[in-house]
Amino acid sequence: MVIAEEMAQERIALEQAIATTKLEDKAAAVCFVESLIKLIWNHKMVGLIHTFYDHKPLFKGANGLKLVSQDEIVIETLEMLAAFPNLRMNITESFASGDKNSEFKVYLRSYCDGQNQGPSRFGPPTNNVLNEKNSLGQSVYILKKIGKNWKIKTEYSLRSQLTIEKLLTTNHLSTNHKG
Amino acid sequence: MTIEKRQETVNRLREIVDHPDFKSPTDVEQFFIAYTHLIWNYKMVGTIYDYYADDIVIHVENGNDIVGVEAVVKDTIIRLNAMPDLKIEFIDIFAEGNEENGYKFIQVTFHEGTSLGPSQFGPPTGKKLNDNNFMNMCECLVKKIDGKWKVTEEWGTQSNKRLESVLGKG
Repeated sequence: MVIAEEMAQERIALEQAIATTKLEDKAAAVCFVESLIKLIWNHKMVGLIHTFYDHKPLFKGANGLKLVSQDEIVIETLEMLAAFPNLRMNITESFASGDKNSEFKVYLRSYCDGQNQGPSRFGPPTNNVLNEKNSLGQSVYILKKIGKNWKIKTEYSLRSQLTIEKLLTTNHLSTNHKG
Repeated sequence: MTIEKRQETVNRLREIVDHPDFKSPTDVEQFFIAYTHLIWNYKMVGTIYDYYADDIVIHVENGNDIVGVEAVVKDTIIRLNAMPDLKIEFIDIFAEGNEENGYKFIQVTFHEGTSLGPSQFGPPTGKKLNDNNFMNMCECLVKKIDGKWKVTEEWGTQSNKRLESVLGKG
């Protein structure tokens, strides 16, 4: 119950941050993106992709991965969350450029904590863990005002993809299983 | 590209790289576009020593960090030997900071090149990297050390699975 209450309170605070942040400057853009990404990943509010990504987004990832619809981004996100249901994204650096009259570009560096407890395209769960050492992630989000609302128009994201595939495939890499 | 045109480009890049004047984030962005092209596209690998700190750490996936400027030079030469026609093209770059405290920037690039030389994964394959199958992201901290601008720390991710495949693994 305590965990549920803590998670709910944290989520509500992030939702309020998004609702009240006016994208007037770079700091606000960083706050907006950080809050949104924590909501999507740490609080599994995957449906927010439909709210805050443009209806024709461009997502570019590793090895030629190119997604051009909200639904494709949702599926990609669900796949990772299903494999790591207790995934927690920790943002370790962020900064932005741009202005409210054109666009904002926001950079996030992060790592993930989580354990492969669910199935993935590579097979059944391995119990291997993601941590600071094996899940470096870097993302650039380009925000544009579409109508009255700011939306993520473009995202470039890379996250230790080769290492994560190995974690999902083999058991021997696991060094720090969680409960 | 003619020999003359190539030399013109090299001279232009050297002019930028030899005179860093980081008064704003825009200056940093322009410098590092030129610096990256000079090192990789024109193979002026020795200029790594000019703007990388001796104790540079490049954080990469799986904790296999590259530590020290000599390791950076070695890594660059090995990659160029494996893909002698390698070209790095920018998708995006932006910086933040000031002259007093230093700067940080993120660049998003793609690589174009062919596996024409040996690598750690074996003999060349003739396979190619391009905009459709490879992306690299690189964040750098840039600080003044003893009055000279240096990259002091870096974080990098790339399409490693594709890279290994192109270079012949598996």
